[in-house]
Amino acid sequence: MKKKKISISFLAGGVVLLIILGMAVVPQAFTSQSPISQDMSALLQAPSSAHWFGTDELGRDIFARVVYGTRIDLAIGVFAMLVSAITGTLLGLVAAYYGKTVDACLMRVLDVMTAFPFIILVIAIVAIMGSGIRNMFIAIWLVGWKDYAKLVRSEVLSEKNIEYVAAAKTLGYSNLRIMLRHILPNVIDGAFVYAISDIMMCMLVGASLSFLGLGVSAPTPEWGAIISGGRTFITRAWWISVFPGIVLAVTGVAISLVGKGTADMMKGR
Amino acid sequence: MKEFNYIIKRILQMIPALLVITVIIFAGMRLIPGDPAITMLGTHYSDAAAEGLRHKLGLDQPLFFQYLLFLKQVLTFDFGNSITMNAPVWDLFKQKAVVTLTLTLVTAIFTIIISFIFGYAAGMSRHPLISKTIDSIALVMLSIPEFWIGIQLMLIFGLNLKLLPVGGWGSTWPEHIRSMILPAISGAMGTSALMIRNIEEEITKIKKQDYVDFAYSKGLKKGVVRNRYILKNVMVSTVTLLSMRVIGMFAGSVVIETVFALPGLGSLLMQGIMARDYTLVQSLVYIFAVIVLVMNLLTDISYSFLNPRIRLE
Amino acid sequence: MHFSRKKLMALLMAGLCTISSLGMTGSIVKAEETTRVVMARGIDSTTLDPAMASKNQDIWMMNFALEGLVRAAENGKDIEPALADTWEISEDNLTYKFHLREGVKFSNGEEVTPEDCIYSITRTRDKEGSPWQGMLSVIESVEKEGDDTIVVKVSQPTPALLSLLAMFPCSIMPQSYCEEVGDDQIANAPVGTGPFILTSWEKNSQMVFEKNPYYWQEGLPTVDEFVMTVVADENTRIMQLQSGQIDMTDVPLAQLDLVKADSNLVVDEFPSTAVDYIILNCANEKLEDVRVRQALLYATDREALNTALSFGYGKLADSFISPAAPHYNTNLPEITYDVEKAKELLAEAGYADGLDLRVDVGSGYSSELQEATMLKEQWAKAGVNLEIEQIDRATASSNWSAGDYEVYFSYLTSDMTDTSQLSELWCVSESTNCWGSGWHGEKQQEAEALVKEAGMEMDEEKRAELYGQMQEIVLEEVPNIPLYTTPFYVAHSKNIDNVKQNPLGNYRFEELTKTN
Repeated sequence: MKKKKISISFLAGGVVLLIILGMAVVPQAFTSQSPISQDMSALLQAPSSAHWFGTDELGRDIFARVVYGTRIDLAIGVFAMLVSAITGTLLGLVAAYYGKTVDACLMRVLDVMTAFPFIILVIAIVAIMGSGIRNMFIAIWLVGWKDYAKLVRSEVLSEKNIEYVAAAKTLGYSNLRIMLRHILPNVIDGAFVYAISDIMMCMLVGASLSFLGLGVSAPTPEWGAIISGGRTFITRAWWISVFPGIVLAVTGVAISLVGKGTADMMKGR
Repeated sequence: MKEFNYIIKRILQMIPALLVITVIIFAGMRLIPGDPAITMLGTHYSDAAAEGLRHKLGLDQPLFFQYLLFLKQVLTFDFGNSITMNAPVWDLFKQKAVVTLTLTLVTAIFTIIISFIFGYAAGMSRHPLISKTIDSIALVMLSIPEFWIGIQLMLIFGLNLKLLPVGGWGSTWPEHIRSMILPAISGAMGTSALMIRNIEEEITKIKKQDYVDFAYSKGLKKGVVRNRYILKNVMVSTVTLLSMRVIGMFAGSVVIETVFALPGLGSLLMQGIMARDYTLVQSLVYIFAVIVLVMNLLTDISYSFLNPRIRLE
Repeated sequence: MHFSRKKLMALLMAGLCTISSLGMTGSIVKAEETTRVVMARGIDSTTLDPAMASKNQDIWMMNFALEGLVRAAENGKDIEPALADTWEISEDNLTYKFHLREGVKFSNGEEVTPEDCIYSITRTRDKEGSPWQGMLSVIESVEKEGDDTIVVKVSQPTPALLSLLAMFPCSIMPQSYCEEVGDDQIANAPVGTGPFILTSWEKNSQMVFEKNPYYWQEGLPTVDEFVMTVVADENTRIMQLQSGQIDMTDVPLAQLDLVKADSNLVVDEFPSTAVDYIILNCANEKLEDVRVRQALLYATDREALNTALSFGYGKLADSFISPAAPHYNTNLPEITYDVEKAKELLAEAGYADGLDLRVDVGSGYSSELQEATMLKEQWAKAGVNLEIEQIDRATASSNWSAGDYEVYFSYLTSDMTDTSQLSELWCVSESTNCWGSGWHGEKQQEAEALVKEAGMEMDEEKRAELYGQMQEIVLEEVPNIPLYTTPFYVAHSKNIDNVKQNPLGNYRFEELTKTN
């Protein structure tokens, strides 16, 4: 009974996610319009059969922009998450395994990191290096890794004294091997669950940065940039920001459903 | 006594961290290209005027000297004047902190109310439909950008229904509170969603554990079990999450402040960075850092009160 | 004692009634009299020190609390009396005598003296770091003659002198107050003879102005309190106006259609001296060739840019001087949009295979982004590949002032009723490097000579001719591509009347009225 329910939401999420992945890989299969060509005779048009999601202030088709933007947004979410997850997990693992000075150092670095307000750090980084996708990655990475480090560190601390680690040590395995082959697989679950929701967080951060004008450079279609571009016209051309907002939300829900399903299956193992 | 030693140790550990922070802030600000004199002169820039202004602001002094001045400001807690705003940084901070603090508090209250009601309902309900619905709502809440929901709320409640002010901060306390309702709801969305899931998970976890069954078997009433065991255990993880979020909100509510025209710390800081107002940004970030470190310490201490099994070490 | 308790009570009651009714009428009368007008704008001022103010958000607020010897008329071209009610100019045009209006007081109650005038004008002229030092350096001396006359001497005939004195850097402030409180306080709470007193200023949030009881114009200002709030988001600003939370606001062009469609609101339009243009870096090796710059002018579909960016509310501009400003040349040759011509010129200049250019756009400025996006597509037709770089505003402007850019969007509003300010910014190389464009060469020197000559020519007709020639040279040389000029728009609720803004952008709200 219970198993079936999980698979239904997992399935629904999976199907939606597949469609979204499809849009990311072959956007031209979903729309024949160009995401960047301007049409001065069709400015700010409401949704119609010609323009499903309407047009923006330059007469660009919103549906096409949303479809073509998928690739960038997914990339931001997944890659930004991956780099921070890998960095954070490794640092947390090493710090907790060696303990003492190494651990204390990490904790101090974490102290300093948390002392800077996230958005301020990002604004500063973008101000130093200029806006754009690459710098957005760097900003999210610099700030994102610390959560993984904290999470993994606390998990390792509770695993470290368990018998199999002691056993591995007496067998004379190298520290590296013990960390990667024995401890990591046992502590990765928590980080994995967090990572799934982190994809969405990264995408939202991207959108917020675009809102503050620090995001992707134009005319690249990106959901956050489309939403914030439509902000000026929100009271009379709601479609510019509403549709990408909905797509963003749907993507988030789909990712979460798939993530939750996977996590449940892992627990079931 | 052990607690006392722990607190002293933590406070001592803060000192090197804060020192590193001053270096990072100072270097960071100077690394950003651009120059306060240029942004202040704006469209009437000329080399002569910029040079005069730099001299007036003390920006032609050697960097090391400027850093020492910053250190002195930090140690005496007298931060001097903002370069671009002609007002003492400390006064600006106090003025804007009232707004941001109110926003943060009201947001935290909304977050607690929303997340406890829904999280509790979802965790305790026997009907999968209820928990499924709440889960889905939480998922959607988590996936909507807060500036977007903010604008929509303002359109509906401010402009169309005229129930609440359309942004702004007002001039009396009843007005302040009224003007906080919509921003706080927008800000509470994401955090509530996380907390609903968190509370729900904790409750289901605890429900399965022996001591709740044991309490039932002892003949305690259902309500008593809920209150005494479950809530108490849920509090630990909730406090962590909430305190992390509150700290983030205190400095990082730029987006909400922009949408709702609130004169708070986030937008002050953002403007400071944009105008390269070195003294303002340096001092504000430093004050934030102190607040964050103290908050972290308080959070850790509060664990031991909420759950004596967690020891301070 | 013959008073019974009853009587005493009655007396007491009566007394209370009278007091309370007095109080009541008092408060009712007060409520009727106190008019409070709230206006919102997108950004706060940074300084109100007349010597230091340099941004529109500072400058436009200047004449709330401050006034000069003379002031700009509503049409933005003429000069009218202010603190001085009459003046004489000497034969050789080097000496100006101003007679102070009698009995004018500062808002702190002190009488205006010639010493205050001398102090205020020389303070700005000699202020280190002031952007106005250069312009005021023409003033050789300011002296007093008798108790009510000020003598201003200039080093050369200066047709713009009255305009200069009407500008805010020459606002008159009380010497005793200024010396007592120092520069920081002047910037935060300037005292002058203007219609209002700045009573509180919460940075980044709001300024509160109260009626100046000593204002020399009888019966003005008509509102008791004027509040200027800061609401950065333009949607929020418009929604606040629609919901009645504020009385008035400036209107961004993007919101104009919406506001005009609202029958509860009134939109006032004022001609402006602001012209939007694209600056081309003439010192850059790719853009040094005048043919390349001309090609870019031909490749720019200004009509389309105007339609999209000003939403049709702008007028095409062909000079950096707006038609609302004096000395605008009405006979400039028409600029045509001609992609073929652009390609030809580019080929001549050796860029037949295409040209790569970069435009710096301030991140967060959506209209600039839109402008860049459109330009990219337009120039692509002529074989120019425009790379859009979004960088932080402060970085972008410091790159621009250092000449480290290729294409940059900008606009200027004149701060005075004379053409000399903008002309000097654009044509005189030594002060701002021709407004950061790095324009140089024979033609530039010719334009510079014309501007310098016009700066000393007292004959109006001759001046117009000189400035006219200069505008022709600029159009031929294309250090900038002029785009359009847009009026200022102020939207307000129906019960507000007499809103005034001159073409320089200065708000004039002393006659503002609010009916209930």
